[in-house]
Amino acid sequence: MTPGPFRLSVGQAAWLVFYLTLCVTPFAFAEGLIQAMGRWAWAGLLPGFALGVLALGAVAVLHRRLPRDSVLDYAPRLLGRFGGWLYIALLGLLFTAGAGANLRIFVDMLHSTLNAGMTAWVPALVMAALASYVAFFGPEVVARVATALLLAVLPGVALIFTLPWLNSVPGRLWPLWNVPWVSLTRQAHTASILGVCRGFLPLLLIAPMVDGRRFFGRALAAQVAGSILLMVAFAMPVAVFGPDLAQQFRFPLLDAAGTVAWSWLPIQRWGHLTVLLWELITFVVASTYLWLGAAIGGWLLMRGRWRPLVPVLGGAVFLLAGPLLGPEAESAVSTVWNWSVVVLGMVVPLGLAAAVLMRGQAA
Amino acid sequence: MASFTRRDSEFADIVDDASHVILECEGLLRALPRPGEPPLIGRLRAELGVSDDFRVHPAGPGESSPWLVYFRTLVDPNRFWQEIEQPVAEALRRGDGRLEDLWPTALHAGTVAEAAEGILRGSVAVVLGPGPRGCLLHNAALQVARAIEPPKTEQVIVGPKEAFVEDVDTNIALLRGWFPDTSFRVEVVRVGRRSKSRIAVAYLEDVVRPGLVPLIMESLRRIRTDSIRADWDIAEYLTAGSLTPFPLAESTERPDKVAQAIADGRVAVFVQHSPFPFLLPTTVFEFQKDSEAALPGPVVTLYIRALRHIGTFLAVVSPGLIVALLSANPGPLRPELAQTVALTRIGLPYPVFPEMLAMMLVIDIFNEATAQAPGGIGNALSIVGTLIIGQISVSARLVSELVMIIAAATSLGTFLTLRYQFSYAIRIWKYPILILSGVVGLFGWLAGILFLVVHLASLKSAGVPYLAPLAPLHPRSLVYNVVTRRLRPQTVRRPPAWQPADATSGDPHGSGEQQSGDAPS
Repeated sequence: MTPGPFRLSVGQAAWLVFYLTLCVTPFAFAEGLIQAMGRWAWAGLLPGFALGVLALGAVAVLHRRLPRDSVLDYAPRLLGRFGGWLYIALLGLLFTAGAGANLRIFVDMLHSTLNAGMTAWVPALVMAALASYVAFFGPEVVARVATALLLAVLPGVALIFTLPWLNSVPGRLWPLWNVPWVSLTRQAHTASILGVCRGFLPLLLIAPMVDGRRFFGRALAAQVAGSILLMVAFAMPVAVFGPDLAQQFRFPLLDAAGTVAWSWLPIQRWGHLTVLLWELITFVVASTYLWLGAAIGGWLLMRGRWRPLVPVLGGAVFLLAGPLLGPEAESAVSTVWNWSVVVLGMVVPLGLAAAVLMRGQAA
Repeated sequence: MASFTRRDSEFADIVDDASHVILECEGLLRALPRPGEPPLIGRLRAELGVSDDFRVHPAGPGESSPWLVYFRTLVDPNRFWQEIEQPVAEALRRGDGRLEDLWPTALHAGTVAEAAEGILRGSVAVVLGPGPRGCLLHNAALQVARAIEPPKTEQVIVGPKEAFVEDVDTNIALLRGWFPDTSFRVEVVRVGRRSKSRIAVAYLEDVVRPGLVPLIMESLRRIRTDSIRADWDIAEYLTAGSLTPFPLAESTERPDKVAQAIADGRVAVFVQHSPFPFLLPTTVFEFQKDSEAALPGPVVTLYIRALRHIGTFLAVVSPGLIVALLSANPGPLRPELAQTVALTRIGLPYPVFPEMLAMMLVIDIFNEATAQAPGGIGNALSIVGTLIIGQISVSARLVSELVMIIAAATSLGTFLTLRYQFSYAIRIWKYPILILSGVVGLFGWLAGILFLVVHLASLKSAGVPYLAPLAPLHPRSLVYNVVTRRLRPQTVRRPPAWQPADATSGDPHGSGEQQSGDAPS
């Protein structure tokens, strides 16, 4: 039973994939990837991209065979009543935690740049409240907001991902031999999370709402565009600062953007502009995840009535987004979440797709 | 002295009571049928009550003369004489038996209530027989309508100088002048238990979105109210349940604007006694375009529309942005700019947030006072406001020059929008953004804008998303209808946001009847 009746156009759904691809990835993972792989940090995204295409393939197969069904319909049929219920419940938890995790990273970034003197609970509260507000209207309004914000996001991303290159020394990215294959392999886990996170997991629920043809083609295009932007973003700090210096920053992309300053511009620090731009992207991502969590919670607990759950989950997201946990606890939660993403977002959907293919129309 | 006062008061009460009794008796006496009157007249008297302008009298001498029932104030005296009294007198003199033939267009009243309603609408009831079927209703209503004048609330520099008036029929006639088209339709419904106001819905049958007109008509029929005061009453009923300050219907007094909207697939709703029909559906971008239709070429249009969009956007966000930059996050400012601004703030008693908030409130108060005051007083208020707010507050070091500049620019930007209802929404929405900026800085400023975007995205007007064609995105429509005018004269698509039944406008093959001066004949 897909929550509804909501209808999204192909373009709206594809733009959602684009937002979900970007997420807070450049800020959440850049530090670790650059430390591990130096000038090859951008290459660490390639396995994630490949795995993401695989995940999209699984969702596409499921949608093609069962076009009117969402994961809420076919998971209990394919995994059994208990298995399906458990999988859907874990997905709901994953989405809610995803909203909180994205906000947590953003709040951390905000705290280290714009709002250093203010308690992190305030931006966490504002963002959670805003995400709840839009999630309350459902995915159509979330998609509309995402589309409207493109007016700022597209030129903003274009500027922020290109202008710092003017201060770069491209030679710092060379040579490209001596690839650290071991590190690359070790980063496959992180990369797979990046890949799976890139918007395809929500399609398990959203795909039946999409009107129009060639949806998965456009979703793939959005994912490719987002991945290329991320590769540019991961290479940029290295090109600007060099591989050694880039490892010293908590948010390398932010500091790379902060190097842009021209005398004729009234804005001195582009790092601040980057934070503001990512406020828009994080907001869309958190709203989408929050709605998905509420929709699943409503299906599990309230016979499809998801709206009452939005403020409840919004409160949970607020707690997750605030500095409630210590660094060790955050790290543990992060590890659980990472592995959950891999299992729930890739392994299970691939299994479901395989089951559908094997059962044929009987599914 | 005290007893005299009491007696005086008692006497006044008695006189008052007596006068009431006399008035009531007079009313009852008037309501009673006179000797010789047909019984129907007594029933009409009972239905219509007693008013000083209520007239009942025979049309001429003799027992065979019909009786006339009407309201003197509703009937045109000239028509009354030419169409009723004079023909009846001549017919009676000639001894014609069938008086009803004198008024071939008159209606037979089916019931007493119908007869009463006709009389209330300016008809003269000619009572020929005892029952309601013996009552003819001849329309001789006095036409109380002002002449068609240039628009007053929407400035037209180059373009048609005509505006709608208060009469629905005149307005429909004006519109029919724009649409000699066989698919132009008008549906009329009466709303208001007591006012029975005529509401006319105009549209192009083969263009309007299927299902939209029945939806509007159904909503109109469901309205339960005593009276309709103006167009906005109806608009509020049609957009019921919305607490938004943004207008979900577009009000205009210009026939050319309405004609263009109908041609695009929208619906115009006319309300009796209102010169402002409103258009459904609408979007946020419709409030920023129109009067540039007569401007030369798309480049000028693009420039003018861009000015409006930017100005309106700045009116909403600039107070908050300045507060965020000066109070919480001065980091993005260039050092020279930050230094200049800091110098202007030396010696000021308050931080920038309360200062800006107070200035915005004071300017809004002045705007409202100026808008409501009669012309001459409004001008005086403007001068007083400029002097007091502008000069004295700055020279007294109560506010900084920068805040004054921003306040003035915000006030100007607010009125860049073409519809005054929309300007109220802009004035209101700057406050949440300002407050969030004051509390949380730049992050709060953007959160306030996000709040506004979410609010706009959640709105719909007659089923159409309020942010269309931006969200949902229709790139071509966004370019042609929001950013600039049609780039190519032969553009043949109607705006998809209205979901028209016929998406093609004009001749898709460009083989219209018009030919350019250079075309071979």
